[in-house]
Amino acid sequence: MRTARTAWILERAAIRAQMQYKANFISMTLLGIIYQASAFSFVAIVMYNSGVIGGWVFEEICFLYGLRLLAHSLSILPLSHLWTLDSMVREAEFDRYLLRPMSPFLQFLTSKFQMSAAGDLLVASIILGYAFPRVDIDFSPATVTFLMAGVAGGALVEASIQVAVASLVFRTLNTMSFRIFVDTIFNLTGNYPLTIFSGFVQSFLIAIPISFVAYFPAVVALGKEGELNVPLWVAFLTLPIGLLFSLCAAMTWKSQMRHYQSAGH
Amino acid sequence: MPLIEVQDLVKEFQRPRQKNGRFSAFRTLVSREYDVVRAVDGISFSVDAGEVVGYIGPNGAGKSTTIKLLTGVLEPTSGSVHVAGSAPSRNRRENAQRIGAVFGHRSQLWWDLPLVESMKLLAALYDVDPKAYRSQLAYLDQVLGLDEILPTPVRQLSLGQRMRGDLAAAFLHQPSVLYLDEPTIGLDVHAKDRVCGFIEQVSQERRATIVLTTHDLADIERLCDRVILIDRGTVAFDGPVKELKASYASERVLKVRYEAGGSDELTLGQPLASGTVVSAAPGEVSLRLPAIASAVPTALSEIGRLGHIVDLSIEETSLEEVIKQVYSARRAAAR
Repeated sequence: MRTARTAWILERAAIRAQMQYKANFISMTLLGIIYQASAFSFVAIVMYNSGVIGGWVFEEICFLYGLRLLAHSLSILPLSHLWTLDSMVREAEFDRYLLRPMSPFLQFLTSKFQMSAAGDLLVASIILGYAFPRVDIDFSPATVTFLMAGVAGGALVEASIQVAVASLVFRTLNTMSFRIFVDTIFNLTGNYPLTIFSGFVQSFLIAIPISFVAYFPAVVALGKEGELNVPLWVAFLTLPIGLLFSLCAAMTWKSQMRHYQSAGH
Repeated sequence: MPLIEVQDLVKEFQRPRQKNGRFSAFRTLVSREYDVVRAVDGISFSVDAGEVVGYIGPNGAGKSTTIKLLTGVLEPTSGSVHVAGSAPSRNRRENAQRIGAVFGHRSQLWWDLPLVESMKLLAALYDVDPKAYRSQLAYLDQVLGLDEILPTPVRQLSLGQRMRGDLAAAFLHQPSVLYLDEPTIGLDVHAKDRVCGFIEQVSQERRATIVLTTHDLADIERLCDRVILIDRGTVAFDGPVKELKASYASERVLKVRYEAGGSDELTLGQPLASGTVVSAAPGEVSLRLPAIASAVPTALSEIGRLGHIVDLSIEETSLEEVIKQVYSARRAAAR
């Protein structure tokens, strides 16, 4: 409890520090909007010409895309400075976290706050705002709870994978290309129905487990269970898988942190 | 029981072996060969509560690595470190409450926020209660003159001010041990004096145990009762500063001015009393003497015969000179 309070105090300080750089905040947000909006407009153009992809109409694709972008925004909200871990470890700035009576990961998490998620979050809400009234979903309390659990689980999956990959820095001293690689796979494949991929790719995407992030929750909510090639109960596992991945990420971080060598003699 | 106990401490670092010749960068990348560098090579010492110990040695001798092992940032390759009976790298949080650390070339403050915010955040991190926080901050203000810099964002502080901030930050939770890794690096005389004053005060008033590394031997002479000299990862000397000087500085120089009457009778290299003349001018002479108490009076009475003595000074061999001697003696022994 005290830890949570302290972490919140540190996070607020990080936000205050960030607010000193207003121009950066505004351009970061604009960048997020432009980046995500142009990625989405590509999908919209394809949809405009074909009408249906993988048996999904435009509004349904919007729903799926919005869910995934929402999970993505939430996952980077506390972790937008994950890329700074590389230089922190390389230049031994990480020393200070090992000198203080709090988990080094929590200290790193609350060390900075970059509002780069604001743009993504905004685009996600616009897309979902467009899709919600147009898809054939009865937004009962049960469905809403299910979708919220799905988004939370999806955010945890993505954040966990990013943290686990970033923690390799304690040994490799540079993880940039690996992190970009993972991010690209998520962006390229996470926003579309699994049905557009071949059988082998489908199994791969379930395994890594991108399909759990937004696709399975969307399938269940839209009542498209017929197209699943896995047992129905698997599609309900997003949140448990998110929690399981968080646990694995924590263990990876811990085991990798032991290899920290600082710098200099 | 000593507060800090270090036993046969060894720390090795691995680095990929750099290849030469064609495609060297690529071959370095794919090779699995490593060079092992031993930064700390079997160091043992112990520090009692309340001691101020100077930890000195040339660049690359293993000073910072030892400090990192003592603070728990690094895990020993072999051997052990115990602070108040527990191993720092295995009980990091418990250890953190007990220690404060300052690394001179790296600030631990929140860069973008006023200094006072760093203090508040550290109080939250170390669970310092509001009453203790206020009294400790008042104490630190008195010792370090903190009030004038508290509202300033850390990135706008001068190096001397920042160092004061870092010292205050390290001592806010009243640690019993302070590790100071080159806290006077790059500071001007005035700022340096302030840092030394802080160390003296917390050592005397708060009985803090202090391990200090520095290249400034004047700091060591002023502050430390004891000095540990390390060289290539091993202990070259461990004992009182006086003892170090006594065992190596076996000579001192006596300078005398006197009212020269008539012709000057002293020449360079001439033996006089128990020493030798190292420089001579009319009315002025420097003598190199063995560092024994009786040498000076005998020499003075000899010179007194030449003329009335006006002024005299005795130059001790500087600590710097002594340390040079220690290292060259060890190099010679190793050969």
